[in-house]
Amino acid sequence: MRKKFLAALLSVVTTVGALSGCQSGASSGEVATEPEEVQQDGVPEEAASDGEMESGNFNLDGTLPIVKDAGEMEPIKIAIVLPPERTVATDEMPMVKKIVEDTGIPIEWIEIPSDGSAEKINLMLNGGDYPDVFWNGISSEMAVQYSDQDLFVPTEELIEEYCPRLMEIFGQHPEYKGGSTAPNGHSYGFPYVEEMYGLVLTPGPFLINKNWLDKVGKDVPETVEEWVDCLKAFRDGGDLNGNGVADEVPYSFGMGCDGLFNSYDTFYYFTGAFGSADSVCSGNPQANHLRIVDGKVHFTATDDAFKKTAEFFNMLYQENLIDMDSFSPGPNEDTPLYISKMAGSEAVIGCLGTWAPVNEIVDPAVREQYIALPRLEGDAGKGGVEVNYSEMAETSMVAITNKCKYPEVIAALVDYCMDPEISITLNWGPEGYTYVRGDDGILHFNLDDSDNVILQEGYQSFTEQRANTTPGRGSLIVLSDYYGTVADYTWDAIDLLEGQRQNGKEEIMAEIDAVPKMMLTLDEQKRIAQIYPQIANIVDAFQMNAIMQGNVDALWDKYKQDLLDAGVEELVSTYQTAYERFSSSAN
Amino acid sequence: MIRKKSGGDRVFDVINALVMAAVCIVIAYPLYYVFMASFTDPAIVNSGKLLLYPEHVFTGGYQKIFAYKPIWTGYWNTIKYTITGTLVAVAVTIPCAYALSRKDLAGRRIWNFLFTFTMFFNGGIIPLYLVINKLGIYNSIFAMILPGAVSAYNLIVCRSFYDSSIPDELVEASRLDGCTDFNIFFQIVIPVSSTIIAVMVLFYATSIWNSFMNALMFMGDQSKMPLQVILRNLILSNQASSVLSGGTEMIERQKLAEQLKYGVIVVSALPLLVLYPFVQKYFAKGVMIGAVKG
Amino acid sequence: MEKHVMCSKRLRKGIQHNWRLYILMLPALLWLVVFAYYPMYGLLIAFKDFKAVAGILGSPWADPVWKHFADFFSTSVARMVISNTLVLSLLTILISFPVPIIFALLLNQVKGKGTRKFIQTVSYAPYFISNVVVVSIMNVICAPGGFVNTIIKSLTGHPLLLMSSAEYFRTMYIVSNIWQTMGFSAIVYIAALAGINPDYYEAAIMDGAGKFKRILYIDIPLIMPTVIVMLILAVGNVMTVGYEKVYLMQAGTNTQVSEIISTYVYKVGLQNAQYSFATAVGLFNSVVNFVILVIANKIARKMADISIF
Repeated sequence: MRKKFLAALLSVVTTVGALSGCQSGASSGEVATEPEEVQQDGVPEEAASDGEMESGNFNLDGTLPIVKDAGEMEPIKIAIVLPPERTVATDEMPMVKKIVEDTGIPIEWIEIPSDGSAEKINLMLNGGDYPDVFWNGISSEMAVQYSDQDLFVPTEELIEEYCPRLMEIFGQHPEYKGGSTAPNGHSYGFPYVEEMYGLVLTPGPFLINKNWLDKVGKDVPETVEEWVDCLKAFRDGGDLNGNGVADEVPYSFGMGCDGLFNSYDTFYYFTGAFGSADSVCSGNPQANHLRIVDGKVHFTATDDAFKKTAEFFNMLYQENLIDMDSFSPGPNEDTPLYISKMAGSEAVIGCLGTWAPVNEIVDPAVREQYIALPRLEGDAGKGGVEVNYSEMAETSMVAITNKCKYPEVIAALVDYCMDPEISITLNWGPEGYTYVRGDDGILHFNLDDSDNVILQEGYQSFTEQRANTTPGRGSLIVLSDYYGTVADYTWDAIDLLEGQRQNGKEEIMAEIDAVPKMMLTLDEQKRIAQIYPQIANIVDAFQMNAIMQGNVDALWDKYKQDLLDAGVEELVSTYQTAYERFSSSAN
Repeated sequence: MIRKKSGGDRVFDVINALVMAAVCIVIAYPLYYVFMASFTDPAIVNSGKLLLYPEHVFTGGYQKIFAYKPIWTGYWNTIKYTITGTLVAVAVTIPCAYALSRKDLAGRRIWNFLFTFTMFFNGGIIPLYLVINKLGIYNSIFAMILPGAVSAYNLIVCRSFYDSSIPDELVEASRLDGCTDFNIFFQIVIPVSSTIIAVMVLFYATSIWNSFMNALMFMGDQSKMPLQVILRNLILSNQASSVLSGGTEMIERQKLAEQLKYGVIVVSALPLLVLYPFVQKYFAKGVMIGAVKG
Repeated sequence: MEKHVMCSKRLRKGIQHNWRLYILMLPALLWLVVFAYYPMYGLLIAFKDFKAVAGILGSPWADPVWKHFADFFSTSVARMVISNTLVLSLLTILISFPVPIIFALLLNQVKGKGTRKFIQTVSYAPYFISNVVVVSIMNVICAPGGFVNTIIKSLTGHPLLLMSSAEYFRTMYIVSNIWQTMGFSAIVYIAALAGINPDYYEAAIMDGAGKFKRILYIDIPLIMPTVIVMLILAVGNVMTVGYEKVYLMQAGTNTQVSEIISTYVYKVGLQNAQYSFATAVGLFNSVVNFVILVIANKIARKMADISIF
């Protein structure tokens, strides 16, 4: 009896279903198949037809909330790589709660620990088991790598339609648009930019010990020659720090230490003084020694200036003005050996490069002895380098995969994040934790008297608090204009910036054209990856030999020939092609 | 029988003692250094002034390590994986090694070849990941135990022991007495295998204890992560990763990161170091019967 | 005639007890199929243009099939890294292979179980210290202003750039290798020595043999089979120098000797997720290793009747 009833019910239901299916394409039966087709090529138009059906549920014109009724859609799966300090669940974080509240988007977070995250993400993509969106973790190389497999959804049209704020920023800064366009003309994901007045575009402060200068009766040097005289005076000055031990060193640098925006390897500083500033690329170690000269990509390590700098350093070495520790590796590849010398209670080094003196020169009494050098003038130019590193840090954040059913909702979410206050709090931490709002309406850092962030809820450090209150860098843009109008400049970077400015930062940035961040094709990347290690090795070996043994003229020609054999011309032309592509897509 | 100690022997003993002492100092000094560095103010460690004793005792590293809650689940997980993994691995390897050591095993050379081949050629992580998924053991203890259950290297070592310590004549004789191979294996071979079992336990346990790649790739829950992964995470989280993450606390964090490097080694290596003397007493004397190869 | 009968008797006996031996092998054989041979199709990546979406089997073949290998050999780097790898590896085997053996032989003569255990434990502890820390310690101790150089300066008046110059790279690598692995590698030999029948010693002592002679005529011959097997295995790994420690010890100034295959592949292949390239070079490595192993094995079989397969 029961069975018959059920059978009857079943047949009624299926008939009704079939009938309704015949009549309108927008019934539940049809919808089940449409998304599959959408995912095949991920083109937004088809998604729009899906969204059309539900567009009643979305506000895609910038008004909030973006999703009116979260219950009517499936939660969007977003994968996020966690920083190591994270202990709180993603959806419990205050910033996430704010975003969800403001936008109404239902999100299912998939957490990936940072250790091994790159491999894990590659495994996910290769195994077919990936989410709708990657909040972070997709580098520009990965975006290019997967670009011809239709794994990620192209976003340039989504940006045009649903991201007015981002379009405005692109209008003011076309280099960000150019930098996030892949070689095939599409962009994948959305950019992350943090302009900190170009903080990371030049090395950290290059310092000299004023106390010692006073003791040896020298003025602050303004030319390279004067600087050498000061070093000689340091060398001959006896016990300058008064501790009874002959531990004073005139000058120390970290050869080959490229970390922290080339703050430690001050060899490069002097190339500018000899006519042609060399460069280091922090964001891409395979773009060192490249600059834009007269609109073309130029390899600077074969310039005469490089040779003269090597000779100059050889002279310094012969005169015992360089610390021997400069030639040995430090505790890790980003830290020079001399950093440990700065942690003591006496000043031991006369002149050195730093990144954040407040961290590196531990003892405040020692730190006070140092001042930033003005831009030294040499025979053929002035010192200082610009780092080939763009203010745009990432090109493909919040990358949308072909599994996502609502790409336009994500685009609207990104535009929401582009609001200055949201970008700022997303990056550094929410109001009430990192920031407090002043009477002037500006967000100020929540600092105590000794300039430390006041920590909430038992967090032990600012980094820990930040990691646990905001999901951090997905797609956001913080322009230099925001500082002072929307929020404070980062409080602990103020001194750093000041030191850089005294070194001549603004002049340097105006003079030198750095290679911008660009996306390369797979073949280009591969070719560069194959050639570059050998080129880097040759340059480094030459530097070492030239400085320690002298006789630079004899080494120079062989060095240039070795570089040619290793493919340096191919390297330059590959980057040149990419640069031309970048220039055309930026306009 | 009076055993005379010849002059030659005495000289030998003295030289040996000196050599051993020198070896101990040279090996132990860096170990001692690591141990000291885990207690010392990192500024001193980095400046190269640390030599014989810690000048500035600084226990922040250990405090951080032991206050880090996941450490305890990490320890427990590692112990679980190591014990079960070693048991499985030894139980799979030893019988196979014995079988492969019998010269009358049909296809012996082929199997030896096939096992050796796997030492050199492996398909990489993607197919392994797919296999683990297909078997449904992703995120389970089996994903930690099974892929490493047989190490061809260990198998070869084990087999060469059986080659020389269980002669064919013995097996023949037992068979004539009516024993099956199972009898021979379990009642004759195993009892005299204490040495090789001890060595296998040590090798497999060390490898599982130190492994982290498998866990990173094949485990999903943080709560199932073994000690090595947790310790790596701890170090990562204390490194100066972001450019500017907060003024003066950076100094403390950098100090900690340096010190953690050393403390972590002490914490993770100590249990295994303690294991060795226990295992070593199973290196029985006189196990090699008829040892000359021929 | 008789030989024929003997053969078939042996064959019959062989088949009879083989199935039991196979049962003993069964779990390992299962492992072999599931976890070793089935995933081996992954090696095909070396011949394909890997596309994640299509998977390994669905990806198109590289054009030409040996493209990645050609790419590797097209650079001047290939010759340099191959020779660096071989030199480093052969030197390592030559110097650090005998050390654990000698250590085990000497240790075996130490009286007092407690002392022996203590020395063993100390010697095998360095194995647990990760490469990162080892190199870090070396950088600090061997710095121009560091401990080692203080000694060197007092002897020669001149500090040596131990960690950054090309001349000392191989020395530092091998010395630290010995330090790290001597104790652990000695375990196999210690176990083998422990298994020697004490009667042999008794007999030798009665014949008047001192300790040194006992080592020479009893210990060494009796552990020789183990030594040879270990040697074959070591030689068979001559092209596989692990990348981690060398990478950490690399400085721009010593790369003409320190750039080896695995560090090069790491920089080029894995940092850019170029699996195909990395797999191709790894495959090349493995093939060379395997060929060398087969040759070494043949030699060992001819000369000492010991073979791995």
